[in-house]
Amino acid sequence: MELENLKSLLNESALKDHATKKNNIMELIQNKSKGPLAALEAKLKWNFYLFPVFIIFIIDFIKKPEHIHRPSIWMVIILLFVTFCDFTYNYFIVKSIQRKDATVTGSMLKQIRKLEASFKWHNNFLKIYLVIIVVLLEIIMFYHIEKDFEPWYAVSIWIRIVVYIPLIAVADFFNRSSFQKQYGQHLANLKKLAAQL
Amino acid sequence: MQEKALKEDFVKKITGHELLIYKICRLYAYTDADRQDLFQEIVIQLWRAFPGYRADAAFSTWMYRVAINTSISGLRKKKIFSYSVEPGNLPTQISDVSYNYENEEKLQMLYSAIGKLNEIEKALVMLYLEDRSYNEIEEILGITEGALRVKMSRIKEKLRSLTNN
Repeated sequence: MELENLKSLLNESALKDHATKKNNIMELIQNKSKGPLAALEAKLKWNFYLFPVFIIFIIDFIKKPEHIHRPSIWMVIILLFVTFCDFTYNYFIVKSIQRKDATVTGSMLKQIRKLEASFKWHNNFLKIYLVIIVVLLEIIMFYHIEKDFEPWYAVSIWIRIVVYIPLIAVADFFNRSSFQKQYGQHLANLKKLAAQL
Repeated sequence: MQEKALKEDFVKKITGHELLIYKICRLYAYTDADRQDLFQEIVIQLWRAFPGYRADAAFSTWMYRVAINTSISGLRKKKIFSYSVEPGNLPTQISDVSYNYENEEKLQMLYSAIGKLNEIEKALVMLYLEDRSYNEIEEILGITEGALRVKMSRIKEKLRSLTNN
């Protein structure tokens, strides 16, 4: 049995499907993609609705004179903004890897490259982000700018360091797990496919 | 272009090439429900990509790219589009489409052998069965013509040995 024998079979089966299924293209395009990548995109899109709500809430909060001079509040604002940028970056990554009109090889390699670069960037970004939080917190405490942190400042610097390091390690672990959960299976499958080229 | 006009243009173009999608679904999904899901996913992805379609490539070439990419490398639920063929997932409707009952068993064997190929090989078989030129297959898969010829001859050998065993 040769491959050529399948030509007519495939044609007949497609014709049969065409005759029996009666798909309405106009109706189908009203539906949303069922792919988990589309679900992830929808989830990340929420960022654009939630961020303005946070902004309104924060503006309302810092209008009070006792809050406006608190560096910790400004620190939270900056961190929220950075988080928003990170979500936006992820959103565009997910959006761009959903494009399916490139050559099969090109599309696959592009996805692998983007996902790996995104993971590397995100991982480094998170570490720098956490180190900056720790440094800012230490500066605030060193200059006794906010009284709320005084009890923590009273603790020995070595104990504080011992607490900061595992916290950064745990955040790094969760970041890796989250990437693995969101893209891991997809990336592994893409690599498997790329190996078949 | 207005959304409505764009939709009408899309539907008109797709309707003329619907068989192509059904064939891809036949090779990449193994139950009616899976094929229906894959058909819908391909149409949605085609619609999403349609505003970016430029007439520099033939419409069918562009369609093959989107449809094959969706079938093989979209982030998928394993449940819907199996990566490999389980015995229970093999097509059982061969007799409905083949009128040559003497060949039915052999055809089923061939179909099952194709199911054992990897995703890229399946795409190549699909395009080969569609009588696409190596030039066009290169445009779709992004694999050089020389490499395609080598792959195709290996696939034929692989299928021969799978169906003979």
